[in-house]
Amino acid sequence: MARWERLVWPASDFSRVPTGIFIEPEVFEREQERIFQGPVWLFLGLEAEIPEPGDYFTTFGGVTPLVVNRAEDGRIHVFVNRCSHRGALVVRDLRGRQSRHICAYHRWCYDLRGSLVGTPFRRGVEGKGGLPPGFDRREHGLRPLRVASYRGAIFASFDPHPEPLPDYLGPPMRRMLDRLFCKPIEILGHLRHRVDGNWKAYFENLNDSIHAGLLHRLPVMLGLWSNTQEGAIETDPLGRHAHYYVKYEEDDSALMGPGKSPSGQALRLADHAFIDARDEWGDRVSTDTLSLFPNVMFAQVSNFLITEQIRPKSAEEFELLTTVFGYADDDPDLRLMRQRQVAWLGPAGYVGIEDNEAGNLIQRASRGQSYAHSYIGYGGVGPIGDTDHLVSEVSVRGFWRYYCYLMGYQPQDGPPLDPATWAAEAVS
Amino acid sequence: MSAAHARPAPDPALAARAQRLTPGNDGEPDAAAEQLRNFLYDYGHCLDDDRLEDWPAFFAENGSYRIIPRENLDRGMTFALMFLENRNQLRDRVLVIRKALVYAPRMYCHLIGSIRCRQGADSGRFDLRASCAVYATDIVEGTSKLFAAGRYDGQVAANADGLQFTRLDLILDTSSVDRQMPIPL
Ligand SMILES: [Fe+2]
Repeated sequence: MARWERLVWPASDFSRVPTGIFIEPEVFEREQERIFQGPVWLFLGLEAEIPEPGDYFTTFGGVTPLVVNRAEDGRIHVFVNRCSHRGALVVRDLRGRQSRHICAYHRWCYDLRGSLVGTPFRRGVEGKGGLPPGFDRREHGLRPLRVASYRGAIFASFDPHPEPLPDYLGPPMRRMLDRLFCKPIEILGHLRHRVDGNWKAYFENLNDSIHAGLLHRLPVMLGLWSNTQEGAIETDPLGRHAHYYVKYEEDDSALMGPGKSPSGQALRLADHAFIDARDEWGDRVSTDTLSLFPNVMFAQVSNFLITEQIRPKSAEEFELLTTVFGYADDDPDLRLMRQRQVAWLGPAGYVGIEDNEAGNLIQRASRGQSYAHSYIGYGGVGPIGDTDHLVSEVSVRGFWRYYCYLMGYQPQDGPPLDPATWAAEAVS
Repeated sequence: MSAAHARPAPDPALAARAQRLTPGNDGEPDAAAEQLRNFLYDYGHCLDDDRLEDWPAFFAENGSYRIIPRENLDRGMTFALMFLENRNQLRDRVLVIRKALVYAPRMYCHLIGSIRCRQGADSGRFDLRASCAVYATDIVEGTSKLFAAGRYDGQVAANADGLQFTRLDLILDTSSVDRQMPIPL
């Protein structure tokens, strides 16, 4: 039996997760085929990064290098960054503007749709060599992915017939993105960091609201967090994504101007600039995050607006690419606020650092323990769906259920996994 | 002593140029440059020794500290991954690190070199650039690795308190950084 198959899921409520899922290389390889190159939509970036025809950037779908570019007709195309001739990387930098992509190795030339348009020495040199007479360029393009955008967020799928992107997202997720991308944006910068942990441990973290008041001590010490504040977690009908939000208290104790300071602080800061926030949407939502299976988090934390693309590198390492943006109509004060609030997230952020640390702690404890199980029980082990409170890890179980379905895992104590029944279970 | 090691005669034109570019252009240029170099070395040692509480004192009251990925700067974006605007904010970062943060403490080793300082526009102000590589050692594993590479770009003021940064930017060549960057570099 293959090693990935020896990992056992004892409970069909997904309250038990086999530890080997975080460290086994064979599991990682299977994820590339079944998940990242499977029937999912991968988040690749924002349209604002490639506004003009010919603009491109390189990124990754799972571990696979991809090129994302805008063609002459304004449409976005995504293809595998691998020359169809001898398999070399075609586009070698992070971003730029080109009318053609030319492979350095043998100078095969592709247009912005990934079609092969140029092959040197096609008829040989002085009648010698050259490509076979029947060679048809149309059969040698770059491998294209399906592409769809939602509100300027670019997604692609290796699956030739994925479910429509709006359906894949589901209504609560679309609402979150409608709010986050409510007007034209401007990219402010990128932050990247590497975590010596497994990408799924990071997803567990995103879908788990209970850790927020336990692992992250600073917001509690500053009086910015309490487990009783208004908030909720919503999922899509299949329970694979999670939308999580928290609202400021009515008295706006978290919305502090300079010099204002909440009472009862366990830690006294000399300068509250990074806590100072503005209610830009007029809905008191202080934190609004969306984790979309399998590779992205969208977040508004105060006025810090980001996409966070998860790039698995191996079973034991992933990279996070954080794209920070603001709105085109930001005033200078708001821009400064967004920069100050990097104090919370990213590689040096007070909350980000702790989430990364949690991922690494799981990694270090998993070695040699492939057949042990972790336990997920907060919020109960009943149907996977929405919760109107924050003391929950229900959506972590939702993540694992869809993961198992794609990976071909079956829980030991239930009927075969059938997503067709999940939506009905969630509302029952 | 072999010919290869003999000190070449000073080139008068070069010496005049060095004089112009060296701070404290008041007859003691080397002493001022030496002072600035030592200031920067002390800064690195302070962090290497985990004397974080002493770190804000290297800055003036309104001195700023930023860590900016060069990847951003090369595109004309100054977005910083650590952004502290004054000495109070520097002190707060140390307070949070000490009192609140769950992270993996590391030992750091700053290698600072290629230091260049110039007289700034105002007297008593110097522009400073230096290359820097920081090694980090995992205290539990005991292994060390190159943590970050980049350059310091700063402005130093000489006043009654000695030298202080009015601005210090660390421009990181390392754009995909380690998961643990709570500590200033
Ligand atoms: Fe967290």
